[in-house]
Amino acid sequence: MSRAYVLKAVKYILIALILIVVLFPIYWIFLTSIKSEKEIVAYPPIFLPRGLTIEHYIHVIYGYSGLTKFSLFPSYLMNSIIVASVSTIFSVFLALFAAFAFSRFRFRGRDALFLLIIMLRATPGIALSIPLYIFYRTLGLDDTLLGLIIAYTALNTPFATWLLAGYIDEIPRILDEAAEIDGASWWSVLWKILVPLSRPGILTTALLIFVFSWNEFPIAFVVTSSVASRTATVGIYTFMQEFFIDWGGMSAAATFMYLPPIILAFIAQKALVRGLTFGAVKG
Amino acid sequence: MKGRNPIERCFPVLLFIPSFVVILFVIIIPLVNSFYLSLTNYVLLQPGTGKFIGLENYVKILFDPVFHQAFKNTLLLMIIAVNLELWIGLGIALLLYKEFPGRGVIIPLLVTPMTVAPIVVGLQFKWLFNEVYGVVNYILTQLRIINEPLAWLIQPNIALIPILIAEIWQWTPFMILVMTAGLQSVPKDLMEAAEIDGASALQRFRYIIFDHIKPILWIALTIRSIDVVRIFDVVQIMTGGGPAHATEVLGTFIYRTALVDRQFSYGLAGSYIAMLISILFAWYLFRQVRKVVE
Repeated sequence: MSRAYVLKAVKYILIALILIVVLFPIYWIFLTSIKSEKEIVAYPPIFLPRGLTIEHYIHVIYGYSGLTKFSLFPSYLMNSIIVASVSTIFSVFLALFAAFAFSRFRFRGRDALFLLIIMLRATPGIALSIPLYIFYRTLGLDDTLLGLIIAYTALNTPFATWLLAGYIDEIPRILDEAAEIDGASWWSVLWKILVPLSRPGILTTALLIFVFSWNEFPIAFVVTSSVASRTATVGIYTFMQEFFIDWGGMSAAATFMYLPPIILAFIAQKALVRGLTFGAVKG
Repeated sequence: MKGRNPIERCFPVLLFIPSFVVILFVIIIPLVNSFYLSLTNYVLLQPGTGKFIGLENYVKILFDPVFHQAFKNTLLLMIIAVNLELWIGLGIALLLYKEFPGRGVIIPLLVTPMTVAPIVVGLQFKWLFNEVYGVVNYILTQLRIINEPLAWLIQPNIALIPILIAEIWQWTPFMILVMTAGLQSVPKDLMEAAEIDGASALQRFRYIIFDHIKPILWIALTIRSIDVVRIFDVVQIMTGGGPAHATEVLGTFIYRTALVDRQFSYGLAGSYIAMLISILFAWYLFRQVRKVVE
């Protein structure tokens, strides 16, 4: 038994322990969502349940017999999907134009953009949501999907612009200069050369923004007030206020929420580093 | 690359217009509009209010003990959470530094918490720290760290702890990821040379690794510090700022005054102060970063 061997074993044990600590809360919510009512409130807690059930999922999707005729959570999920995907598409389009301008024309504006991003990042969402709420009420945009879509588009566009400009910067200028000599317009340089070449960057940026919108709470919380536009994060919060003892149902609802973020963690970690450090760390 | 005709010359400016319009609409107009409202005595859904009172709300808030509490808690969370995240994250990143089988799967698994919705993170920890059925109480009593199950989120003197742990759970992965990226920038041959020359692991860390990752360390620290100032979702779902304002943060303070107590203009004044604090703070930190990087 060499010393190196022992060190290696210690290292693996440590990593295993860290993994357990990191994954346990997620495992625990998932487990709660498939445990029977009785096992959920057992003490000591049951780590490996005997029987599994899908009743909590049925409650979340179809509602409780007796309490409410149907559950609102599927509508909340649908709202989240619509708002996150439409605003992501809008943001990426707007950001592509702006990123193109930043990357290919001489501008002093790049520092200003960075400042705007930092300011947005520094502003508490709840502080922004109240002014927005007042404004939306006068326009009749409160409690509408459109209102949320516009809000998320605006909040994510500067950030997406910054990331996409970084990706476009990596494409050699010689390519678009050559195309321009051949008579291509800027429009076709953007769509025929830069967009195809930065496709991986665009996709990961889109995924990142999608998850930001999917996870967003304060603005949706303040601006929405009914099933017409309430998103899943707000749904979980209200669920907690109304059915605070139904941990099975809440866990089932939460389990739906995990899917996009986990996909993001697996396929776009590099974009995560780059995105969350505003491109300062390339990953 | 100059445009050939006026339209081509204006083209780059045209590219910004759509983004600018949306940002004007969602961010700038509402902010300007409500800055005015914060200078009035406007109360939500109460006609006849909205008289201009100047900076009265701002003065009042600076002497509000609940606002002080919120400010103190936000600062406390920031100092403790960000420091712990940084050192734990750096430790884990060093552990994962060398290539080993399974590394490619372990990193994304470790990163997962940071992508989960904060509201769901709050739900998780509210359940884990439940005073009756919670796993945390069970494990701690089994390990004899505590004698009796604790009412974590109900007792004012300990209610901040579960929130702190939720925050650390969610964001240490950010540090791991950033540090891992930073460690890749450390030249391999330099490390090998130092090892051959007999430098200890500690010396290699201090003189090679730490020097190389210092800028990234600063950036990570800055970004996370700014983030904590915005903390809201986790606190709102776990305690709502209670019990008795024990876990009040700037976000929950603003929400409560503006929308629960309907003191709209007062809450807005809180919003602007919070924004001012975070922006000044961000500006300061980024200046520090620039100094370190250069």
